[in-house]
Amino acid sequence: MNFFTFDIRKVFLVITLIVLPLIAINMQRKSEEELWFTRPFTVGGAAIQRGFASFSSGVRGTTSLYLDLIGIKRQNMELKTSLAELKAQLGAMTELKMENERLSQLLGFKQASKMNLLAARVIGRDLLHDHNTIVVDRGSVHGVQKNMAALTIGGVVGYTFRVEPESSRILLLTDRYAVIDAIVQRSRARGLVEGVKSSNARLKYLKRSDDVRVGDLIVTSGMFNLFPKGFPIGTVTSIDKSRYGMTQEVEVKPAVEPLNLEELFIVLNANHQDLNPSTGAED
Amino acid sequence: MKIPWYWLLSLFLMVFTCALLSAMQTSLWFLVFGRFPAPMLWLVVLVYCSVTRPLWEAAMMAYLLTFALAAFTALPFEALLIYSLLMMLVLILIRERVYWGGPTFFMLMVGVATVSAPVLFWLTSRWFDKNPIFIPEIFDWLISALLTMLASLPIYRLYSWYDRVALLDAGSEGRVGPR
Repeated sequence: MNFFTFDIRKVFLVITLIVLPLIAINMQRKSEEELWFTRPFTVGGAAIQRGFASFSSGVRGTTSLYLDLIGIKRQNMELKTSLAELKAQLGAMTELKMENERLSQLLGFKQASKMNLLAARVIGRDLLHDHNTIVVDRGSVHGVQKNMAALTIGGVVGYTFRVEPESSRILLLTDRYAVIDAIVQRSRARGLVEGVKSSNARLKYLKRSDDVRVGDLIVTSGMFNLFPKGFPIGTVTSIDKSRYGMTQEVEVKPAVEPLNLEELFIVLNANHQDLNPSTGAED
Repeated sequence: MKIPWYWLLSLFLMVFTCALLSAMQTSLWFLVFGRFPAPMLWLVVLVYCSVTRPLWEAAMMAYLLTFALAAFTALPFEALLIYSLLMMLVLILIRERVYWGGPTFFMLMVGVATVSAPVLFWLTSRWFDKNPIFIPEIFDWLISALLTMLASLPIYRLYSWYDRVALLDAGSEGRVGPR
């Protein structure tokens, strides 16, 4: 074999083995520069990696969601129960807050008044639609008697007409059987308020010449010391003056909606309290 | 003379349940639903007695029920009694001409009673009161009539059971109807 005779394949292999590491070293030394021929592979590789990462993340997410379903369901039920409890508590708290406000107002009214008042809670209403009566949880054992006035801060409610030991039935001023002695606050014209139906009453037996206008306030007369004098009953909504009659009839909208009440006062003794502004407000 | 204990028990149960239902209507319903019109549960009891009892027994029941009901309303006892007897007569007149018994017939009669109730009230009010009903509150009556018809079925079942307890066969319906 001649000394200068080479096996070209071996030469190529040797060169490759020597040159390739050199190239690699060279590349490593200039690592901050990205080579143009590696760029497509970098981009492609990154894209494939992102794809795999995304797929893997999706699979892991779905799997974990599926695996956690039982936990989520249980947690959901627990949360729903908690929410329901909280809602109930919130409802009860709101109710208590409103009741507290109402009772505070009533207490303030009672303390400011010189009347002897008994607070009562409404526990029932009439069996028949055509009658407007309510039942309260105070009766003869609490000092309630027949024909005692019932009122609230806003105005007259009615009066007791049937008293049991532990409860009383109150005839609301809107009941057909209710009659309350009243006067027109502005002109002092006198009449009787009678109930018509659940939402209104009527002031009757006013003289034809009596001065009454729409919007006038109708107040209690204070007769027999049942109601305090000058306590609001309602306002005039319309006037019916027949052509030949001697009297006029006036529609009255009650100052309070008696059927919406939850608490009220029974006047054990009005102590002749006068609430008329003309006689010096509350005396 | 043999004392009809079961029959007396049935009377007592009917009146007691009527008072219970009236209390439920006037107090429990009011405290839960406020001003929303309540079903006239007392009327269902009156209809049951009118539909399932012979005339004399129905009249007696009307008296007993009126005693119980008068405690729950401002309407005087006399007016309520006249109203109950009128209602009972209307229902018996219908029953004597059309009768097939059972809950469907009963519900139909409750429907008739709820429709005729405001008319009878208006009439008795015109007759008795100084300040009679001006305009009946129609909307309240309508809602109430619907609820009354719905409530009539369970009450019918309960009263039929009372009758069975009192050994009155077939809810005593065998004793009434067109001749």
